[in-house]
Amino acid sequence: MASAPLIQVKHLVKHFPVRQSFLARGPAGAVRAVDDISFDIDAGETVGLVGESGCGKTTTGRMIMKLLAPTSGEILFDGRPIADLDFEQEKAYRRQVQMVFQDPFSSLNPRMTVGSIIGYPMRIQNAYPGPARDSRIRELLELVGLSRYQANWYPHEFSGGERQRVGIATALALNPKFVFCDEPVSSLDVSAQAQILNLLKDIRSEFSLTILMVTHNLSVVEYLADRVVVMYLGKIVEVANTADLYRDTLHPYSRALMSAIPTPEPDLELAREQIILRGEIPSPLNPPSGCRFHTRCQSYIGDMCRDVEPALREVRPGHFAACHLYSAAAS
Amino acid sequence: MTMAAAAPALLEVEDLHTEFHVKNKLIRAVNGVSFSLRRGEILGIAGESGAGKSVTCLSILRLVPNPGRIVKGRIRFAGEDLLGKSEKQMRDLRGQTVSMVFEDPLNSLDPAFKVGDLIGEALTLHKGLGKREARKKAGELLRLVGIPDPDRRLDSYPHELSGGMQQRVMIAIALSCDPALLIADNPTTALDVTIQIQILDLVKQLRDRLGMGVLWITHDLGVVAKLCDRVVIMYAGEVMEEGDVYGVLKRPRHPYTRRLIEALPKLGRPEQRLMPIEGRPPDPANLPMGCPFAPRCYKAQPACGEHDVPLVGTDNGGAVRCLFPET
Repeated sequence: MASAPLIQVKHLVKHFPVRQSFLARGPAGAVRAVDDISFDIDAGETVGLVGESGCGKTTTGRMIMKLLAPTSGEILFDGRPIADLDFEQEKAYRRQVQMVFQDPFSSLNPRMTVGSIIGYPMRIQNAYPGPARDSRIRELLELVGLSRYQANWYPHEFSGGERQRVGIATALALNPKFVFCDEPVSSLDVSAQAQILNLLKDIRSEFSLTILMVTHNLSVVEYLADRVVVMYLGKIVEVANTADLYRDTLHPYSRALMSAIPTPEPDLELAREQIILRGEIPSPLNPPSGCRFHTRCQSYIGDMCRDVEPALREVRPGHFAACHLYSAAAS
Repeated sequence: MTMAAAAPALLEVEDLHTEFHVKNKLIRAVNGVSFSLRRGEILGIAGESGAGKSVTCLSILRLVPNPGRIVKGRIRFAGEDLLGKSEKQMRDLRGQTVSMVFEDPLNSLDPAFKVGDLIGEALTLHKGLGKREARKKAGELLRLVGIPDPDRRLDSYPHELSGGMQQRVMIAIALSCDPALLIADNPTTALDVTIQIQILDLVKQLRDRLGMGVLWITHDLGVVAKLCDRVVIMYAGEVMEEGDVYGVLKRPRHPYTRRLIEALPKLGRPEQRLMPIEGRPPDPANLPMGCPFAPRCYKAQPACGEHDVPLVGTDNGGAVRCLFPET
């Protein structure tokens, strides 16, 4: 299914400066939220961006959405850097990239009917004028599994899963090419979660959408994504096709993450590798030297890990990892 | 109850009913819940939001907020009737022999106090320790829950700690008076998975070492599989199924339990389409007759909606509330 990459992320960096106190002058340091990452997303592909809090996954997504400006590096959409768009081009860009938010409770305006929420992007972009807009709204409601007469309802009349459907309908309103889903199911109950995951799977193939999905839940990623990017403290540690990643996990952090996902299957629970990482996630304000994971790594192989930052290298075809375990084997 | 084990129950909840009167509506949050917990056992209470899990726990502690009331049932803890106790007796019990850990650590830790004082408070209050002794014990507790450099951490404020550390402090406070029963309400939902597994491992170790009973509320059956010995599955204020974790997850008897498991994405089987549960949970102010899951159940027959369904023992030592259980 892969063709030319729709999105190319090149050496992307985002630092948030922090002041020591309001009396001290100048920036005291910076939260290195995203620190030199590169990856591509092919047209029609679903990429899962996985990691724990503070690893920079949401920041990365927001930079692609042009909600944050990168400190350095660039993002290309359809081969064109998104930083250089003029007003009209930017308006067109914002039509093509849309977002589904984590929390369906705070992301919908409680004073607007869901019909006007879904119609809002069309209003801003002057799309579907006149009566076409109402029929488009009804069409979208049905597409996401709600009924057309619910257009006049307010968000509080819906359950969490139904609100997330409204969020997805809003994201689809302008026929985007690319949708960024930021933890789309983490605030939902189990049954609603399954409905939303199935819905995302269906609309993805129906509209050949390109999706970047940020989540901490590796089983959700496995269900939806074609390829997975694992991040830790602002760095990419592993990139692989979903099936390869789950069959043959290379990076020690990905392995620990995999073993920590709770699964309701008691046999698998007994059989699989149990890795309990020591310690906390270090602060991105002052990340560890060398490999950023070395302070918690269960496969620490010596000074090299502490001193030298491992590069992301192709260990197997299409399967990249940033770990000295594999660079040592290669050299 | 159908528990075959011989060990005496630490906590027995029998036919508990807790109701809320809100704006002329009667919300039946807990509707005839029964279960028991032995010393040294970790019992999970699992279910989706609105199933009545948290209200069940608050009822045990007699902390149901207004306008909620416990209208019926019996709660026996270490042989004593908790519903018959005075408020003062309950206050002595809470935090001492029964303690609780909440979901959101930052909202349950007073931001104006240092960690050492927060832990010390329970020790001076319940155990009558002096300030210096309390501080020493607080340091030991922080070490017990795996906080590095505990003596320095005693002087930290809650906001200076990470979420995982805050939850460890909550657990340290809960353990400060050597409770016989620890009640934990979704304590790991706000944490990252690698931190969550540390906390689950810690609770297991502490249970082995201190022999307390643990009541662990969660909506995550994966957490149940990792942590618990037995599990109670709740839906619409009722127990739908209970039994040992392996049996319930491996071979669920209740259609609801089965659906709940099928709705979760499974590692290693992405091609298998998820089976969501159709429909919505019933309105707790207007519960259907008979089995509350019947309107959404794939096995429902007219009989399911006619009268209350009893909780019946199964061949593997568990119990299920269903007229047509899976075999």
